Amino acid sequence: MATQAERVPKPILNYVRNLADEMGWRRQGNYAIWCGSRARNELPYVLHEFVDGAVMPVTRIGPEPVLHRIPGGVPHHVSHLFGFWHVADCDAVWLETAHQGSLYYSILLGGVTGRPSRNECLWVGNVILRTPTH
Amino acid sequence: MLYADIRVKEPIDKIAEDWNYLHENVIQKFAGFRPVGDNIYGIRAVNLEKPSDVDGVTGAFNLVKTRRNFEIGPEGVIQVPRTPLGVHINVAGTPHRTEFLFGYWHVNDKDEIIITLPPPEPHLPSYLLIVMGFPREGETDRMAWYCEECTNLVFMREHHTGLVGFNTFWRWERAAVSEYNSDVRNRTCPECGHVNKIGYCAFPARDTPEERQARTLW
Repeated sequence: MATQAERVPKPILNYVRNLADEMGWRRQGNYAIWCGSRARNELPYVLHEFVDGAVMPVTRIGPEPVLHRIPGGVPHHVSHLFGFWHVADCDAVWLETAHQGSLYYSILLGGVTGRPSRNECLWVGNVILRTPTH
Repeated sequence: MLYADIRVKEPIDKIAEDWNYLHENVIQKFAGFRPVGDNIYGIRAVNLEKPSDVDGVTGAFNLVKTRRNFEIGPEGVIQVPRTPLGVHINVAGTPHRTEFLFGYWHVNDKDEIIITLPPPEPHLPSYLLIVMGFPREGETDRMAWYCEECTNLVFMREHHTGLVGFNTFWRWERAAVSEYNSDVRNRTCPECGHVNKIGYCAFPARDTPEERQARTLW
């Protein structure tokens, strides 16, 4: 028979992802986190934001990495990763860096307890198409 | 997707202020911790070889390459690795500490993401990025000291960050460290009687001589 101590689940102290792992999204606690990478011979992922009716690419200019905040409510799209524009009800953080010839990326979505709780997909052009909120 | 007809006409740095927190003109804003939107950001350049190098440091948060990182759980103190390109998520409520950087255990009510970036090119530094949710009402930060010998809680103070905001955090940190160091009874374990080392703040420039000495020890 299990003792009381054995019946109490151990707390999760931490969990670990790696930018080199292409493991899709993981939602846990305060964040949903995606990591991905591209080899030298693949098209790089490119973050775009839709701001004031225009599309703004967010790309590395020099060798330094990029850490960029996507405010909650701002439509954003990542070329070659997903074919729609995403809108969340919380901030996201876009990370892009290079190392030994490959490119590494991450999206950190969250920070507010209970969010993301609403997500929306858009298709942007001269006319903006919206899906129902999920 | 192509957006040639609706793409912005100007470079991003002309239309979006501080669009890259790692740009050389922006990074200093995050040398401590800076709340922006839903999160608090901290960015550290890793450029010190050993703890004694901190003697020449006047700014905040310069990381030592040989530092170790620890957390406390049911099995006591555990060392947690920081691997290149690693994304380590310290789950809310887990006491954690980085040696030589801050001389107390930080316990927050928000998950804390720590990302280790190796140098993109040999002449560039490596970086440590810290992203944690901004506490909302009822969510706090705590500073704690646990016994080095038996891991019993020895001393703790709490900052109601979600209620009062982040502006008072560093004054609170300084006051709590000073209070802990001011009386040996604060550092004496009530369980085993061990007298623990004194604490120190995250800003080396604020160290007393005794705190500077402690910074090289733990």
